[in-house]
Amino acid sequence: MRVADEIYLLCHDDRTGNATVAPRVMGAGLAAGLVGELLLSGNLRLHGGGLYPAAEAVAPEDRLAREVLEVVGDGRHDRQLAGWLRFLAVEAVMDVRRRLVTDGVLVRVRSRRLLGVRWSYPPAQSNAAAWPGIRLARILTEGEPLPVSDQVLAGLVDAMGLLERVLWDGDTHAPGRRAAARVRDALPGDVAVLVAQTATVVADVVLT
Amino acid sequence: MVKQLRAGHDLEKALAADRLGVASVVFTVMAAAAPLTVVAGTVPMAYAVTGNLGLPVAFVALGLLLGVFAVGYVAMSRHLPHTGAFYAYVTHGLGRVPGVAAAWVSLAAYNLLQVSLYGGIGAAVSPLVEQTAGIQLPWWVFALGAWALVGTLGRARVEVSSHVLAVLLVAEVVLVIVVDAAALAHPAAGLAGSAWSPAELFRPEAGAILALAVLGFTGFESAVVFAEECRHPRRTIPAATYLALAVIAVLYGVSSWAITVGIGPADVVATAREQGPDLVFTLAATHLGPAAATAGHALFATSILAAMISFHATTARYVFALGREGVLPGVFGRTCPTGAPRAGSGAQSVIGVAVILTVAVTGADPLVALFYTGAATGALGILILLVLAALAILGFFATDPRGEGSWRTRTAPVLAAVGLLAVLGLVLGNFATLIGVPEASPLRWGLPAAYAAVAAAGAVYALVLRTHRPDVFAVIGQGAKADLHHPVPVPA
Repeated sequence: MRVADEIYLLCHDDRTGNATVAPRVMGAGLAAGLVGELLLSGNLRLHGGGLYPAAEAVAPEDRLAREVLEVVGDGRHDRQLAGWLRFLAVEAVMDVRRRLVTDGVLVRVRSRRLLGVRWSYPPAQSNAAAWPGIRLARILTEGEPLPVSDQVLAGLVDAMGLLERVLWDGDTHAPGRRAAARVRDALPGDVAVLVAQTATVVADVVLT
Repeated sequence: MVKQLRAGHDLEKALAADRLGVASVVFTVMAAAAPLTVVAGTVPMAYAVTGNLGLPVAFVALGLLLGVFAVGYVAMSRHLPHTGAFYAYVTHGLGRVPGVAAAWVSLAAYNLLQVSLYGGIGAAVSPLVEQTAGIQLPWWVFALGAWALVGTLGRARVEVSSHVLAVLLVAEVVLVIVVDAAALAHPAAGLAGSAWSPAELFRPEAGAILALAVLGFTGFESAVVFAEECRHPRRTIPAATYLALAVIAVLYGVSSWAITVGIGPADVVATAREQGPDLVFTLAATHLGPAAATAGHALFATSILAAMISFHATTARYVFALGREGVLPGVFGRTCPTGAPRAGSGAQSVIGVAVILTVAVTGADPLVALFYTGAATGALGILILLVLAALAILGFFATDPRGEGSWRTRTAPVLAAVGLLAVLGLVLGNFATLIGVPEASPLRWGLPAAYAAVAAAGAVYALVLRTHRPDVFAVIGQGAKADLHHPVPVPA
C-alpha cells in the first residue's frame, strides 16, 4: 500500500470512514505522503529546499502520482517544498480518497438526510483499513530495521502528531516514541527534509 | 486546483484564492480586543482606582505614539520569518539572550491578562444571574464555569467562529456608540471639556492612566501575522495596523470621555468607585431604558468570554512555538491530531484554575484584585515588550537598512523608543496609583520586580542553552513557521 493511502486510513475511523484528524493537519500529511511516494520511486528529488523532477523520471502508473509529477515538473512554478506541500494539501484529502475508492479500498455510500444527501466513504473491509495502524505500531515496538517507505510513513505520522494514537497500548508509548525518534534521525537526506518540512507545515496549522 | 495550475496560473496565485483585505484583517484584530470589556470594565475601574480623568487624552496620545511605533514595526515584520510575537523582534534586533527574556516576559504578561478576565466574568455574570433567575452564587462558580468552557474549547481547538465574533463585535460597538451618544446628549454638567485637557496627562497619576490605555491597544500587533494571507501585504498590513489603532483610539477615547460627561466630571470617580462595571449599564438604563442595560450586561459577559478564549489561544500557541524552538520543554512543542497546541492549552488552564482558587480562598475582591490588578500588571508587561520591540527595531536596522527608508528605519523608531520609554518611566513612577495600593505596599515594587525576575530567569536560561544546547540556541526566534533546516542568521 502507498504511503499516502496508509496515512489516509490512519486518519479515519476503520468502520465508519469518518475523519478523526483535523482537516488541515490531514491535508498537510497527505500532501507530504504524495510527495514522499514520488521521492521514493525516484521520480522527484530535493535540492536546496526545492522540489525537482528527476532526470530519469518515468511516468508512474498511478494517475494521481502522474498528476502530481506533472504539475511539480512544470518549470514555471516556484520550487520550494513548503509551498508545494501547502498547495497539494488543499485537495490532498479528496485526491487520495478518490484513489482509494478506485482501488476498491473505500466504498462510496450515499445516505439521505433531512436536507439533501450525504456521501460517506467507509472502508470496504474494516480489518484491512485498521491494518496500517496495527502494522506501524508493531514495527515501531519491535524495533527491527524498516524499509525506507515505512521510515517515511513513521516520520510523517510523527510529524502529524499521530504517534500516540498509533501506539494505542500505553506501555508501548515510551519505546515506540524512542524508536520513532531513532527512525527520524536516521532518515536519508531527501525524506529527512520532507519530514522536517511537514512538521513545520503542521506547526503552522497549529499557529494560524 | 491542479487544473488551475495547468491553465497557466502560478503557484502563489493559486494559493491566494481566498485572501484577506484590509477590512477582514482589522475585524480579526478588533474582535479579540473585545471593546465592551474595555469600555464597561476597564474604564470605570480606571476612574475608580486612579481618580484621574486623563483617560480620553491617554487613549488618543498612546494611539499616536503606537502609530509612530508601527512604522518601524511593520517595516521590520517584512524581514522576519516569524511575525506577530514581540520576542521574535527582540531576538532579531537585540540578540537571542534578550529574546528569550522577552519571550518569558510575554508569557507572564499574556497569562496575567487571560487569568485576570476570570475575575471579570465572575463579576459580570453573577449579578446577571441574580437579576434574571434570582439565584445568588459566588463569583468563582461562574469563573470556574468559564474556565472549564475555555479549557475544553482550547484543547479541542474549537475556536469561536469568526462570524460569531464579528456579530458580537458589531453589537458591542453599536451599544458603545449608542450609550456614548446618549451620554453626550444628556450631559450632567454641560459638555465638559476638562477630560480632553492634555493637562490631565501632566498630573502625578498620569502614568497610571497611560498603562491602562496600553491595555486597550493590546492585540494591535497581531495584524502583521496575516501578511502571508493578504492579497497585497505591502499595502494591506500597514493600512490595517493604522486603521485598527485609529479605531481603537477614537472609540475608547470618545467613550471614556462620554462617561465623564454623562455622569459629570466631578462625580465620575465617586460613582465609578460605587458602581464599578455597572456604571456604563446604569448610564444606559437611565437614558435608554432597562432593556439596554440587560442587553449590555449580556454583551459584557460574552465580550469577556470572547477575549478570554482569544487570549487563551494566543498564550497556548505562544507556548507551542516556544516548545518547538526548545525554549520551553519539548512536550509543549508536540502537535496533536486536532491541530490544537494541547500541552500549551493545558498549562494555561492549570494556571487559570490555580489563580481562581487562590483568589476565592483568600476572599479577595475578584474585580479589584483579579480583574483590575491582573490586567494593569499585564499591561505593564505589554508596555515593557513594546519598549524592547522599539529598541529591537532600531538595532535590527542599525547595521543594514535592508532597502527601507530612513523614516522607517531610524526616525520613527527613535521617536517611538523615546516616547515609549517615557511612558514606561511614568507608569513605573505611578505604579502604586495604577494598582490602587499605598506607596509603601510590597506590591508597588514587587509586581514590577517580578517582571525583572522573569526576564532575568529567561536570560539565564538562554545562557544555559548557549553552553549546553548550542543547536537549540542557534535557531531561537525562528518560530514554528520557519524552516528549521534553513535558519535565517540571527545576530549573536
